[in-house]
Amino acid sequence: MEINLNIKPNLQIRSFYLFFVIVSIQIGVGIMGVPRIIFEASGRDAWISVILAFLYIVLLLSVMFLILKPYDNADIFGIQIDIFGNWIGKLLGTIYIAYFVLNLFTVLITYIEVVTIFIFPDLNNFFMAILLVALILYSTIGGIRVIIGVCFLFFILSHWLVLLLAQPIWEMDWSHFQPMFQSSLTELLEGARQTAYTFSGIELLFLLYPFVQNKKSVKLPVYLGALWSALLVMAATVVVTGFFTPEEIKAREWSVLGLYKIQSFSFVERFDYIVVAEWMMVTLPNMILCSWAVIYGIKRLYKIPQKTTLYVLVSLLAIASIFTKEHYVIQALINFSAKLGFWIIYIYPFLLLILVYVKKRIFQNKGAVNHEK
Amino acid sequence: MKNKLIMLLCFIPILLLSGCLETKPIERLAIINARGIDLLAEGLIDTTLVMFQFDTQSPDISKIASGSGKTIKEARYDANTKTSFTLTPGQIRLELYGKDVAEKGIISYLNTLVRDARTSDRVLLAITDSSAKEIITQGQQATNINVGLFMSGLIKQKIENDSIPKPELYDFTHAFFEKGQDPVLPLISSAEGTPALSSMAMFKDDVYVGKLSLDQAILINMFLKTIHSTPFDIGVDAKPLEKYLQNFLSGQDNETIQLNGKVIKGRTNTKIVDPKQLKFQTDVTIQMNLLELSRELDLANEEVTSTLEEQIEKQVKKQYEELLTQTQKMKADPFGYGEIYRINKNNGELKRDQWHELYPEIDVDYKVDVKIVEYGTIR
Repeated sequence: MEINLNIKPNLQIRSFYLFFVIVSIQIGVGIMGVPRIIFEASGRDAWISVILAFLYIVLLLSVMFLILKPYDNADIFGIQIDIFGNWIGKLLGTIYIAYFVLNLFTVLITYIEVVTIFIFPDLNNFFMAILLVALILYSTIGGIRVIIGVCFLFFILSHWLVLLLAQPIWEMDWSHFQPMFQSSLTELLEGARQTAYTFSGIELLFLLYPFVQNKKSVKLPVYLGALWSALLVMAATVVVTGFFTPEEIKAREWSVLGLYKIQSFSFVERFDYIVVAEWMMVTLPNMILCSWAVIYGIKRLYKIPQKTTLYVLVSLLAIASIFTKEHYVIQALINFSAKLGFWIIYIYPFLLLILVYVKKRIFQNKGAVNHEK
Repeated sequence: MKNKLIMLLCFIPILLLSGCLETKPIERLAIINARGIDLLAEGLIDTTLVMFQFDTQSPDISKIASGSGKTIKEARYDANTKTSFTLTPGQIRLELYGKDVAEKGIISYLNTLVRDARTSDRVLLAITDSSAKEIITQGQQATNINVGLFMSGLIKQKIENDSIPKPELYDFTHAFFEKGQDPVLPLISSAEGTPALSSMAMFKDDVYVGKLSLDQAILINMFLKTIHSTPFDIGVDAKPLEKYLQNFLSGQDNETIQLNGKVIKGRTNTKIVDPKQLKFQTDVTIQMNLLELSRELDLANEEVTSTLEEQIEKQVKKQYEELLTQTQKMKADPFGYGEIYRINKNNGELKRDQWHELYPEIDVDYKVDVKIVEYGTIR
């Protein structure tokens, strides 16, 4: 397997679009419930936890760039094989792909659950899954440039939802934040750790990096994307803390959707229905990017054609969704995904960084300039 | 070609599957817009539903149905057995609780509303001074229009001019869960059959503990938020203004002068003076227009206006103090002084019920500042 990739110019993307990709994959179903999870850990100072989490992500992104830097044009699969050899490298790559599958599946079933609870109580999981999966199939089959286009469009089409927060902001109770700075550092860090599932997705950079056309300007859009996601999560957390009392936050599964229950216009009485439907535009790019990561990764590792994997993947998703109707099953999956993601996304790159530089040092000492064996 | 076929196969389900959902044609629905809840013996809940029913055969679209059961949902299904239409609760605008229910606590019924994602958070809550069923059934006969809309209209117009604190589901649960604050709701009573918003009900947690007047509702609302263009009535002592009275223009000879005006902007600002002694200070600022006086005054004279302002200030301060002692007796804090106390505590925590014990002890110094901005075309 090649470590460095040679991407055809017609498949390359401009670095500017990475901003939309990063926001699209980070913001999905996680943000709907994350204020509660952070609040349970760090209480009134939940917003500080979000800042801490963002700082950590900036650190992580710079580590990721450092890992990619010594290579000409490699992705995570190539780097792992370069460091660990063919067998372990492929095994690690497979774990990476399995994580993407899991993430994709949790997003799908969480969104279906939300639709079931908010709009159609009698909705059949399987049918809803088929509808969503058809859209995923349709976009993913178009290839990486179509996927980036979908991210860009849905970013613009879904961000007006932020404006609707004006009304809850108006009714916020600022006393909920006072007295400030009462949580201990461990509580704050625990709160930051709880954002792992929501902020996950930046690992996609490891896969997309070879596709970027102008590598010199790749950093800024990525950092800005992470900043934008952090600001959205921050806004959600602040508004939820101010709008609901602590008991209400703890009682609500999707506190952010709860914020949309108070909007009412003369032409639409219940705006939350529209918001839940609109949320599909938030989750869809997320799922499309994940499924692209899966099919692309399998092609890289095992040379299986992308279309074959895609058809197998979407059928498996639709079938598996039949068995995950219960809330506890879904929560258990999300928790598992969050734990796995925590190690893979947030801890592993640091280890990889050390290995990459140790190896580089050894080869330099031996006089080898080039990594390609 | 093959690709197109596959795409087609993907899109056929999208078109067809939407037919698999439950259909709800409006002609076969009864849309509930108000619900009354009373308690029967043995823990049974009695619900009275006011609804729209778009029946082609009947000219009257407002209907009333009732049912009983151990839970609210069960009661609704029971009511459904008596109507030929499917009752849908998604459009409930008003929840009306009978006096018996309110005295036992209403939070368990509200949880049902919050749990069900399909009910709106903007549902108005109110209680009655008799049973909810009585108010609804009598009201329907007396008003001739849909009594659910009638009652929510009663409350909404008061909310719009900031005369009462907003009694929506969100506001009630918020005040309920806030440990240093208690909720208030409008109280609807029957005036010869027609429902009328007569006073406010003070709650301690979720239990109805006493009545407050509508004038006091303005004071509470002014404490909770900045109020705008609110009608405002107050009676001031006539004595200090005696010499400015234009007696030839005023009819009756009373001890007090009744004023009617409109608050352009009224707000309060509270700080804690001494957390240990529970001493608070509340600054009240009111800008108002004068619309009517029961006895004419020479208002062009600045001295008169400032004396009048002083008298109003005195009166507002007195009303606030009365309201405070009255609610202190009920051990229920409609203002949220407890929140201000909590913020200034070291750990920022307040236990449930702790504030109910402390509230009667608090001491508030009201500093009122009234400005009369306009007094109409007559000088």
